[in-house]
Amino acid sequence: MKPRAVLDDMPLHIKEHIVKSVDYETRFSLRKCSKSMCQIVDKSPIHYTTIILHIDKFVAFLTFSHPQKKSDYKIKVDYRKSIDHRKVQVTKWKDEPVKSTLVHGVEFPHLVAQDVWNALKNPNLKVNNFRVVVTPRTPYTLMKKIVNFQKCRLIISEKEIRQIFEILRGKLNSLNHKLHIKILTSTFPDNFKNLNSVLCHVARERLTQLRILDASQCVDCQLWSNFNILLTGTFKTFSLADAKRMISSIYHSNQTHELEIRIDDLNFEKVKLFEILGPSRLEHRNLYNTRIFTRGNLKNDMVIQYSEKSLKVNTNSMLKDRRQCYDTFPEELIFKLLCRS
Amino acid sequence: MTDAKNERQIKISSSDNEIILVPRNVIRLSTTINTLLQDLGLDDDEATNAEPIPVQNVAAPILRKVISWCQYHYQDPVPTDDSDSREKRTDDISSWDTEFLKVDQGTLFELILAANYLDIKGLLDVTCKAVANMIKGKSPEEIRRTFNIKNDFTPEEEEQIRKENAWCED
Repeated sequence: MKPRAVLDDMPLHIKEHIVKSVDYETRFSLRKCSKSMCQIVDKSPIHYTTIILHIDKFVAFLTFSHPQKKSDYKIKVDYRKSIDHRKVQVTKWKDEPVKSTLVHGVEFPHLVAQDVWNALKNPNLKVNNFRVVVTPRTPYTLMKKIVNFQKCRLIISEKEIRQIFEILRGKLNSLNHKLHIKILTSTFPDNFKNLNSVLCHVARERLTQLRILDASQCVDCQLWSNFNILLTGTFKTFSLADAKRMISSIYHSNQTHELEIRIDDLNFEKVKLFEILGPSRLEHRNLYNTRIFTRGNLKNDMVIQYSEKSLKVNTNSMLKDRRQCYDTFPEELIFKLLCRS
Repeated sequence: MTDAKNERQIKISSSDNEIILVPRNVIRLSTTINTLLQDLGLDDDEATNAEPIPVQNVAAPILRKVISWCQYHYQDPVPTDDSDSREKRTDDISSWDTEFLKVDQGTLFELILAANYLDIKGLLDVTCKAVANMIKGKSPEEIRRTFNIKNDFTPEEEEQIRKENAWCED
């Protein structure tokens, strides 16, 4: 009599199909079953919505969240150095702590690095959003791997950026993708005065994108003409003259810029927006990819996106999904719209 | 569902040479047989095919079970082909399917192989989900015991895997 079928007899694509239906944690159990199951799990795509990594002096957080069923499911691991610095307390959380272990004989950041890298090395890993809060304690080996990961967004405190760029010296030049960096300046207002020198430093590293939380604080920065920049400004304290000056310096540089302006000021008048972004400015060759987001006393929230081919305007007040909200208008129409306003 | 009984019947034969009659609309769920009927020009024929279509990889008990699944589901909307990498849901198995899948493990895997051979996406999905549900929440040792999987790791490899899994282990 023919022997009954067992899991091991299933064709590869069936096993892959089964693995895809198994939650991520069980997949890690499956990896430990046998070599063939391990290979199948490693081949299966893993989809995280967000990975957040935060390494500090005594504590690190690693959060993986992914869509599961109706709500987002999170695994959070925190690592704490013991008082005598000889052990690392590793606690895994799923809403509440589920497991805590003491790890001996391993350097604190390297344990985190190993865990992150284990997750990232899966060639099928799909992450929508990989946010890394980088500190000078983040191990260099991990940083090298992180910056190679195309979807990562580095979040760096402005007061530490100098150290971090020192650590990454040389590495950034060899990257062939855009590195997205968000510099946390707004929480450190005293450090704004250093921003110009930081930007100078960043420019030397030929970064292609830089996101500054409060661009209004670096309105005098002339370095914008030296590199492509993605600016995010919350123009609460921004005068119209400042805004014009800032945009002007970008318009008249020889580089191609990406400009993203978020105007959160509730009192920001519509007319000011159009003064800053008159049709002639929109026609400027450098402004090939500009996005302006506004809210406040404009009747409807508005997004204007100018690209090489078209100018897109959104007037949907919800703006939940910008991709869906965009309507494409012919350029002439939007120029007329702007002029009339 | 009652309509199916009055429709044209298709003759199919199992691997153990049992001939089974199945309504055309019901067997439409099998892409393999559907394509075969079209390729052989039997699709336009009103009468029952004289020569049964051989389903050589599937024994009669499993084939009958597959047909009973098709009979219940042939009017369902066509499942969409989702190549999404996200983890699939497994808690959406209908109560009828849950009852249908209350079979021993060997039968379940035979059903998977039959669904795969006959290319019946809905049945393949639901049977794979049933296996996934049997795996979920189990430790490696429990999975090995349940599915008779041999641990072929060396102790060193096992330790390496343990380290790699560290961040996610319970």
